[in-house]
Amino acid sequence: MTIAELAKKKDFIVTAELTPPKGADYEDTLKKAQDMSGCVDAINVTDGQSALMRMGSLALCHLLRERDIDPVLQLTCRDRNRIALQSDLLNAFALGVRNVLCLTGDHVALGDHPEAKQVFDLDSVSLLWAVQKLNKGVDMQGNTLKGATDLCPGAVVNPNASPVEPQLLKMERKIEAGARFFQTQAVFEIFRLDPFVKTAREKNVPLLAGIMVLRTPAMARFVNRHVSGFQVPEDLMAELEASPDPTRTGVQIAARTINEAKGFCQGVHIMNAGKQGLVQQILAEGGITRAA
Amino acid sequence: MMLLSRLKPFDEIRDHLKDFETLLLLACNGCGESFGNAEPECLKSIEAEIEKMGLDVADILTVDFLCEQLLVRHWLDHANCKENFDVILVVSCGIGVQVVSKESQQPTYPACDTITIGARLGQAWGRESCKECGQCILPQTGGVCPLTACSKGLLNGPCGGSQEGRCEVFPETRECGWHLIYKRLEAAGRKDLLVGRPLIKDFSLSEPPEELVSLRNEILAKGEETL
Repeated sequence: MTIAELAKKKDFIVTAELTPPKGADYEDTLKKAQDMSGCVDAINVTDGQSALMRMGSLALCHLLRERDIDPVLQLTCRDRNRIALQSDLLNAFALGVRNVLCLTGDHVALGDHPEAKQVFDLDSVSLLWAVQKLNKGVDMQGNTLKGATDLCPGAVVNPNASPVEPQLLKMERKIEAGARFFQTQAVFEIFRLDPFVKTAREKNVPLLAGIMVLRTPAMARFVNRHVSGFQVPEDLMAELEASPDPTRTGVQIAARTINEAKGFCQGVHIMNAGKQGLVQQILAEGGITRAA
Repeated sequence: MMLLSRLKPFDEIRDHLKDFETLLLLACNGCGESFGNAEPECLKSIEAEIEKMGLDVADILTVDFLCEQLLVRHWLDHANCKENFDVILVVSCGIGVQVVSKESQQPTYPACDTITIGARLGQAWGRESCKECGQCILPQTGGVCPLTACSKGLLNGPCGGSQEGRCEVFPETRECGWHLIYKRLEAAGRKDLLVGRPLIKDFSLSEPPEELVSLRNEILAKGEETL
């Protein structure tokens, strides 16, 4: 089921993020996916996140589909031009993938191949527009396709941006370009979502709040340095540093944010909870217990 | 000296100028002379087209090297008519347009699409500011080019990574290009340009058309004859 369809049927949607392996062996990755699949509605598979070269999103989405897990294909514009992107959208549709999260992608300077040529022929907004065209049975150039796609395009907003208005204008632009759901960048202070939730409600597009699990103070410092788009607030850093069991504290912080998001957003998107069993713990702590 | 730019279609120029009354026509006589856009007869024909649109042309200035920021500042400071125009149309490459845009209070629009800078970048110093893409979008982006000002060259708004107006990739040295664009459009009351249908580049336009390549070859041949 697509995220847009789920939003009509369920009060609260839960998605979680899965990072493909750095290498050819995907068994551990699939095991993580299967562990968390019972308590989430869909699993996002990242696409060269932080510009790190890994196995692609589409292969893992296909492997998830084979195991009856609904995937969200993350597709970035950093590594492919418009021909390759449209082709990959057709590939995804052929393999039964329906949800596509359209992203610009991180700059190559942030990753493990800083010497690479980055593409950015399209960006997140024009990629959404391209999906809309394929859904209508034509390509970006207006050529008729043999069979239209029926993809559900989603997009990201960063509630931590400062100033916030350019992000909000871009959100509007993404909705106009066809975004049918939003998953936000990680948010630690739920009030930052206010203007984005307002826009999402006005335009009737579901928004899932991004929840990041901070497992250790060192990891929180690492994401502050290396992950684009947000900073862990100082009071949370202090809470983690003072804790005798930082992972437990990280789970509590994530659960607290989930509780605050209830009744406010259409759901949550859990990031960086790769360690086995963590997503289940966070959801149980956040009062969300169910089978998908 | 092989800068090739071509006049934009007047329909496009008209669209950008429709809300203004009095115009300063500012032309670069530096590299631009290689294609003749700043020649008196060309400027006269631009003036005639502008007047047909119902705008007054307050003055026509021709400056050598609009890429020279201090020179542009001097000219704009001393323009006799500086209180008397509400928009500037710049006949130059994309670098000249952006330098004028930085130095002027009035909205600044390009008259040309820059196709190639071939051999050199005039007197410009600092960071590259024109990609010679052949499809100048400075009117929609407040006179700041997102292809060069944004480290990812994004056309439809900021990525999620910029903080406090700094680029996420080079926070120490670069402002976020989209933050600059946002500030310019906010000041101009044109935030409406930040929404709507996405901009998508036509990369085929950055190839110099055959007639411009021929012109270059003619100039080179003449140069050889005089040697």
